Amino acid sequence: MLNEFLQLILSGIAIGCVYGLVALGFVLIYKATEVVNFAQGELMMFGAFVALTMGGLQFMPFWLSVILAVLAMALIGGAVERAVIRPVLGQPIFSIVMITIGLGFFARGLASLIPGWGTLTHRLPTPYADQTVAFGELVLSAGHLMIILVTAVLCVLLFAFFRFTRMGVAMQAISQNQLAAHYMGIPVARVNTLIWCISAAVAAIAGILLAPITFVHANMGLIGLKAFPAAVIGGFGSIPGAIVGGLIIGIVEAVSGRYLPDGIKDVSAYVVLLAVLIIRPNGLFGEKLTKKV
Amino acid sequence: MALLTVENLSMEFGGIRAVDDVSFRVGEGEIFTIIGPNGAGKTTIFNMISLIYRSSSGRIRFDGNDLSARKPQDLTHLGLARTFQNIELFEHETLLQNLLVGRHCHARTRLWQEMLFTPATRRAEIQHREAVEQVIDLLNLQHYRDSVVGNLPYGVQKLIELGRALCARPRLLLLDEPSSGLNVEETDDLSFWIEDIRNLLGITVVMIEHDMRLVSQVSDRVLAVSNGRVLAEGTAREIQDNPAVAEAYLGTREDVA
Amino acid sequence: MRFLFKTSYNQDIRLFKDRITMGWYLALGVVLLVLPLLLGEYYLSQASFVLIYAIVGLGLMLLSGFTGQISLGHAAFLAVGAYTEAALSARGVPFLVSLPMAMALSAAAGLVVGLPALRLKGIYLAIATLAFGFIVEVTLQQWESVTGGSMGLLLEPVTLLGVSLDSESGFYYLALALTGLTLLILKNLLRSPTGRAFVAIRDSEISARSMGIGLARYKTLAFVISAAITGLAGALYAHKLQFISPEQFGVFVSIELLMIIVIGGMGSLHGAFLGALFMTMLPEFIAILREYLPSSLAYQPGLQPTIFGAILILFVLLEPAGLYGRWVKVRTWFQLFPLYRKGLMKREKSYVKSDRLS
Repeated sequence: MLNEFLQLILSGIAIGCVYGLVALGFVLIYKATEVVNFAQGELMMFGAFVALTMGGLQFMPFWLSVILAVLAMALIGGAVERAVIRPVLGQPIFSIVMITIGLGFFARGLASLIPGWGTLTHRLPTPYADQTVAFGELVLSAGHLMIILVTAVLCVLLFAFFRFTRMGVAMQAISQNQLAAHYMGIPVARVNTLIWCISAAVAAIAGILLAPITFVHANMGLIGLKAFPAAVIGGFGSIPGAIVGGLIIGIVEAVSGRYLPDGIKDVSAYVVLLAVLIIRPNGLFGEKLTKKV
Repeated sequence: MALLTVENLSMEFGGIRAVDDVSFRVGEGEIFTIIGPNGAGKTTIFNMISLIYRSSSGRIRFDGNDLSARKPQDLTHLGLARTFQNIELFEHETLLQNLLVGRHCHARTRLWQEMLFTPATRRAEIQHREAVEQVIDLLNLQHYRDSVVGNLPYGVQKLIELGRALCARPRLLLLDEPSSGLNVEETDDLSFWIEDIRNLLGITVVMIEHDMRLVSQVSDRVLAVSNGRVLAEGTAREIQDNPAVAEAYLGTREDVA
Repeated sequence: MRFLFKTSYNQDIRLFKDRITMGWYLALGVVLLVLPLLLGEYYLSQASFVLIYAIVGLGLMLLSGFTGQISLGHAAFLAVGAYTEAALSARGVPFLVSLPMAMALSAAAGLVVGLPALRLKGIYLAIATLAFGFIVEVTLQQWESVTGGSMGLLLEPVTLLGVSLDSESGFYYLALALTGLTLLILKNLLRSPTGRAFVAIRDSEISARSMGIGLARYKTLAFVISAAITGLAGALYAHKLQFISPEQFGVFVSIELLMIIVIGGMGSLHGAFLGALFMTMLPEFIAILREYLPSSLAYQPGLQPTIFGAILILFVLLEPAGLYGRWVKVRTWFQLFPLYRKGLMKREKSYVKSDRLS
């Protein structure tokens, strides 16, 4: 009984990590430019597909296809920012929301049109896919374990990056005051592009991690919509908050899927979201949004 | 009895006392100016009077009403209006629309009347328009009447901000640095307008200002604050001669050497 | 260029700028009235859809375009109106009673969303409305006793005062009347203190409040009125299709509704109509496009979202003022000919305006 429950929690944590990673991608972009990227899920989906396509090539070891996929997505993310987002910065938030929503639609439709990708569900061959790891009586799928491990490593890396590297500090500066950062000689536009690159790379990793569990298909990105509650619950400007939010959602979903009636699982994330917003309108770790007059 | 009474007002922002035990009174028909170096807490005082911030302690009374029991949107109904230091206009709308919003506290039409645009609504609209035209005439804003406010020059925008507050027909007007960004001519015009506001419209004026020429021209009484505390209170002349004020504001002879 | 010399306040207040403008709109009105004589059944049906979407567009425009409240889950209000109408008319409630009730229930839903939304700003509001939309969608699927779940509900054509409006033209006239009424009420609101309060909230909440506009009251009001109008559209929609099911009210539909106002032109009533026209014709164009595409592409279900997404992106990038904005520019070009300058309508390039505490 207990084992079953623990296993449930662990799978919830694993999925929560994926939500957290996608939410992390949101928060990175939001912190820098106050743009909410509704296409983050689709970036994740593309990442998984690119890895799939690479992996399908002859003589391509898994780890290399992962690296190439992540790099490719970083490039795509940067290109998207350059082409679509940069021209609209400064417009009201509504327009920016709509353009990223449009991006999401476009990406999803495009994925299903690309030959070889299409509307089918594909299996991403990962070396650890069907393995399990035993901790005493607990049996965990390697897929879940991998997600948790990689998420933890990624968080540490990102933390170090933002704290200790020049670029990371520059990004923090931009997130607080774009104009001032500009005057300090920080190439704001380029850093924004870089943030999108990083965000897309994180999304790609999330997609590859998720692939063994949900398989790869064009609608994979819809999971991104679940990452929103995660990001909001954590407070939209907070990176650790995004992960915590993701974990909360993951666990809530796992538990409600098991113990509550059908269909509640799908909305549980949103119910939790609304509950959190009612109590704390800026999320758990969020900053207070007030205008100074 | 004073129109506006501020007693022992204090504001703390997480350990920093932005405003420390400030008290003053403003009588009806006065032009009362608050001066002080930047960061002295002047705008914070205004923000507390207009209920944008909740004071940590102290009391504010306007026209006999204790403001701590009120909400920000009640103020114009009570007869208190303000302008903002950094212009807060409705930038996508025309000047006319902006000023008409100033009349909101005088709107008596109910929702269903507005939806059907009954004759009563039409009459009310014409009344609002007439009132707004009076302000436009006072401030000479006629040519900008149908211009979108966001595109207008800064000096004009400041005037519109003033005009909008006037449309509310307040008894007391809070002006936050009305002359900032204006050139010498515009500031001169402003001093006439402020006097007109008091003499012709009977509105009491409380303002924050840095331009000492403007201050000494129009003010009846001046309050000098520094570091959140009251330094001195008196006529413009008295304040200018006050050594403590001079030190806080202008520095002493030793600083110059 | 036509100059307008105004000599009375009424000229500023009235609905039409001058007699010439009124003339154009009267002509449009006449065309709309005789449309059933000009169009065949199919296109008349499409016209009815345009009207229904125009009503939704007006409702959403009021909330998002004029009051600045983002609503990503607006299809939920459409659903409440549609399902209420379906449930009531199945029980024999006459249309003249069921329609106001559908609107009332949608208005109540608007209240449910609006009240907690008061404390939420910007992106949080957007996501909260998205969440609401999802929850309603899933509720529609799961609450089978009332909504029939995925099986949906069937409806009869509208019976108004004993007359059955089961013909295309009958329904069209009903939709036209309701659209006209909605438009009139909105126009009236916008030229009154309440309408100005809405716009004030959109442009500067803090000074709106300092001018005496209670944010809570007016934001909630905007949600309620918007939801009621959308509920009206929902009820009409249900009768038009004579069958409703949860898929028709999902998040993607909410996005399509938003496209109506974004493509049409935010902040203008004309935009609602232009956007509705565009969104109704878009599937037609896609169908025509399919004939020219290689068969590998043409029959993919993914074609529609790709095109929708591309159009949305292109409009925000290139035509942020929407179709109405473009029309105004074109009209100005003709009016000012040959003196039109390219920079006339150019937006000032601005840095990201932060919503956060600086």
